[in-house]
Amino acid sequence: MSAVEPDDEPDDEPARVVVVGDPEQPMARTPAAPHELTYVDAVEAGGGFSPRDVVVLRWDPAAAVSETIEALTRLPPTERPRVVVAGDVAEAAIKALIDRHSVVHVVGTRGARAGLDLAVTVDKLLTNDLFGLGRYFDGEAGVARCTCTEARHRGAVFDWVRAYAEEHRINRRIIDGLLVVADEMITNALFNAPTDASGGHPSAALPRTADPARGPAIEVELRCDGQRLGIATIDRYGSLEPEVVLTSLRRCFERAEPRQGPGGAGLGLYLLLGSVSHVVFNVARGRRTEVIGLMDVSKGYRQLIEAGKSFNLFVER
Amino acid sequence: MAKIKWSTEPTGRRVVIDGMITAAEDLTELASGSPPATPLTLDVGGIRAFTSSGIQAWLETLRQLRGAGCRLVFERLSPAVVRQTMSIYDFLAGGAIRSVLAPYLCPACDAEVEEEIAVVDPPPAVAPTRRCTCGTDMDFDDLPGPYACLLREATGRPS
Repeated sequence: MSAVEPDDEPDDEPARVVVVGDPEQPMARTPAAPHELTYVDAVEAGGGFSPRDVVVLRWDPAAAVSETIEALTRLPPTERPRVVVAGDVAEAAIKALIDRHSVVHVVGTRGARAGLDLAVTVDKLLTNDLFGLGRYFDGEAGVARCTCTEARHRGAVFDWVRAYAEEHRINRRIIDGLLVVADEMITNALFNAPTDASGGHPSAALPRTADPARGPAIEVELRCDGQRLGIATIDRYGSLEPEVVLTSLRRCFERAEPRQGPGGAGLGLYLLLGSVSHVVFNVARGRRTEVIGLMDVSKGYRQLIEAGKSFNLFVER
Repeated sequence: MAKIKWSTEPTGRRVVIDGMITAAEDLTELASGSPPATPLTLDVGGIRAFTSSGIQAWLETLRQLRGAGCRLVFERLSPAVVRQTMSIYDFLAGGAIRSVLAPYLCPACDAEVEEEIAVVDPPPAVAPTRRCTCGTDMDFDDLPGPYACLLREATGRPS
């Protein structure tokens, strides 16, 4: 299955959602898939899939999930469905899913809003409507927004983020992690996202204390409903290459070694994923990139990092 | 931003670092204030977090200090330092570890406490709970695995 290419143009045939696993544990239906989901014990190669179909594989380390993915990977591109792995996948297994199968949707089942996250993932794949932090919250969530146009204003944004988290009585160590996440997301949007006429990234090699050329404002949004806290940044370049995300994700599950030199250390995603429960990348090429970090804040720091990691990489078609 | 406070001990220089390490500027004083070829004790119990630029600066500063012949001894490793030590190759530049801070959270009153654990042989176990001032058992608020591993590894390092 292609991890990095946008999906084919939709046709008139409705997409199927096939859930591999126990039908006694039904998956939440989604607004985009109100019809019955199809439950099967296993998928067979040549099962008549189209690239618009979605296969949800419930993760079971004892079961041959990777064999199923392998079989789907071998299908010709015109018959390959999109794959979502649902479950608490150990970090070594996530690395294998990325390395060997280019899986870009892993959704844990232990977080504060895990059922919602799986439904949102399927929904986004079916509708191609990718952007927005709000859909990851199903109740009342306090919303705050600001913008950042210059690197030297980052400090003020971090103060704003801290004040928001303290107002929502978030655990002190989780706030520390949130500030790291905010720094990585905003710094990436300011330094790595901007492109020049030739498609290069003129600010990427600058020291992170420099002020890159001023471009469109970075939008920052925060939401918190007491169980979960979300932060999102949107840049207006849409230049984040999915392969870059995958390479960084692989490094997240190894002992990291920073790059030398004046630019970034190449640890941004490692630190981002290390501090959140769920990271989502939404890319509309040439137009905008949204990065979302979701943190389980219902208990302490341990609960947050023990909940397992979820990630999604969506590329708008 | 980090804060750095120097003092002098009979055995050499001592520095206390607090805050968030975000850039080389946070550590300039550490690199410039350490005389070469002397023991340097770093109390890192107040370090709250590292950004990626902060990690880069931290590693570069420690390499400079080690290159200048300073013998590095770390004490009171904060949870943020423990985490990066167990994740990033040679994060402490081969320095010795005297103690770590184990974080606890009270489920009843949300109080947070960090308890210092000395590095001794045999390596001590990290207690899963400790008593809060409100009378409830506080829970160890981190993954126990990296702490146990670090305490084991630290016992083998010369101090």
